[in-house]
Amino acid sequence: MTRQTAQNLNLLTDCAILVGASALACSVPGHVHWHWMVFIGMSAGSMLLWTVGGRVLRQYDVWNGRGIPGDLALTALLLSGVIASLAVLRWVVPSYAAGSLLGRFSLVAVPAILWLRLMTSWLVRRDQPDQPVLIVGIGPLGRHTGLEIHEQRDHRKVIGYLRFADEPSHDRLPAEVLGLATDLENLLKKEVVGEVFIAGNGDSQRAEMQDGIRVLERFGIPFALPASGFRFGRARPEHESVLADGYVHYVSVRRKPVQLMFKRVIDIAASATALFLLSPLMIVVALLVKFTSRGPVLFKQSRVGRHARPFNMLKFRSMVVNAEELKAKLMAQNEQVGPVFKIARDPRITGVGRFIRKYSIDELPQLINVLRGEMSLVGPRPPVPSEVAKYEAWQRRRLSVRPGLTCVWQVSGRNQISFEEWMYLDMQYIDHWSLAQDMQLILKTVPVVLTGRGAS
Amino acid sequence: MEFDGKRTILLVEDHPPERDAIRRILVSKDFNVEVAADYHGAVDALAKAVPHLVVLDLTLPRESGFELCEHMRKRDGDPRVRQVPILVMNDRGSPEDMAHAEEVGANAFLKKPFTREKLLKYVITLLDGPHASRPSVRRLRRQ
Repeated sequence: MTRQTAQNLNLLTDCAILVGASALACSVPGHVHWHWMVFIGMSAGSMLLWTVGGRVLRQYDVWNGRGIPGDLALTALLLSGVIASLAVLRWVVPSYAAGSLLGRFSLVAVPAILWLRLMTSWLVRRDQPDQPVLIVGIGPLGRHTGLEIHEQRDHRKVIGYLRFADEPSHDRLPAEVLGLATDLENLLKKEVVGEVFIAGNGDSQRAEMQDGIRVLERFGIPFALPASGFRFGRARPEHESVLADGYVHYVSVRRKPVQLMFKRVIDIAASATALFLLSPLMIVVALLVKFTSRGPVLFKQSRVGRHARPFNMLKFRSMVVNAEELKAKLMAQNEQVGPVFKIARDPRITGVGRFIRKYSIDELPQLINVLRGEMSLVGPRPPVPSEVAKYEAWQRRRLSVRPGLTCVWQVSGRNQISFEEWMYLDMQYIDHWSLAQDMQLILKTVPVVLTGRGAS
Repeated sequence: MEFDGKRTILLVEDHPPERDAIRRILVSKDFNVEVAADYHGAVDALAKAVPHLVVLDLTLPRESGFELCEHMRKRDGDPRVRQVPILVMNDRGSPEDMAHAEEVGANAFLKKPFTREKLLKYVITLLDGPHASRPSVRRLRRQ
């Protein structure tokens, strides 16, 4: 059974639970007759909503990039959405005692589906992509480190080794030697690396190790250094867990796990609420986009997400269909210094497009990206792949966090700052990130969007 | 000590219960097992007879297992002892620990706790595998 088949089975089971819950809800104790209409409406309606919602939220993808808590939160949200929509049936089906019926439905469906989701979460976790690890040093330490990571099967994968200049080549390594330690910077520009183990000797390889650390700090990539370099017979580190693998691990961007969890909770709650409140506006805009120019309502653009993983960013289409082809011809008129393309009176933009761009309405579908966990409300704007290819080393650090709808740059006057300054602001945002700052940025974004100030 | 066709393993472990348990496993597979409780006991045993394999705990009361490795691999030491494969055991088994063990000349590293099967697999690989010493040095020295 392939993993996608397993996930499809998961969807089928969820639908079966919905039908079962509908059946239980409709079989009122004490009443002999069975509400056929209500049963059919309820089961069909809930299954339809569930399937569409699940697809939009990437619930049944092989890997959706979310952790288990985030996944459960979204499942709960989807369930409440389905139940709330079912409440509307009250006006459609006359003999429908919505309250008790929905109560019984929820009592069965909510725990059953959440439980199933929790039980099958290993399915999703199993498909978690491996964190790519690079090891610098091919001596005994480097080799044992690679073997250890290889044996642990904890979603890490050694993508290769770099060799210190004084090390002879070696053939018993669990991964390929990709170059010399001095090639680190070039390699990091090409490859996605989650952590680098610097398996060197602090005496004889000191200079190369120090250079490596400098590069890794600029990239913002976590790295690990051998804990001591000494041999112990009897002594053990007092805090064993910290040095479990014999390395001290360093990060250049401080992780704040509790705050980050709250950020994700706020993201889910706020984007779900915003999608609900703005849905009338979004429906009108969708219709306008559809009927004023040829092409689809939504424009899906490949952007680079956290840890350089690509995703489809959603927008209301504001340009003509062949905009990307026209871009090449217009490149000469680019007004932004650096790898970003922007010109003030872009002829590719449609009439409706100009309006929705002015008030940033075109960005609203990204609330779905936020719900999916691909984006956040606040964070550096997700770059397109061609921009990333042109990034300087220190700019790659932007990819260490979830991209967002708004960031420092967006509230600072938008296109009126240079690319360099923009990157600099994003980097400052990442280094000094806090929830409080996020709240401030959201509050500052609102007036900027409402007045259409600075937007193009 | 009489040579009876069995291969001899020198087991160096200071903790009696563990020592007995490991000894029993090895004896059950028809190995001749000599035991030593520490560095000095092991050095004496090595001087008396050259075993086919040394199974060595790194955490010993005075000198550590690393030092016994260094003693066995000494350039001016008994050349037959230098050939004897060493299997080190330790409760800590970080890559750094393994690298150190390799640097002092250990041939394999077994992290505690281990299963009977794993111990035997390591022992047999070391005795018959590519690390095994040559037949000429395999015979026990008679004292």
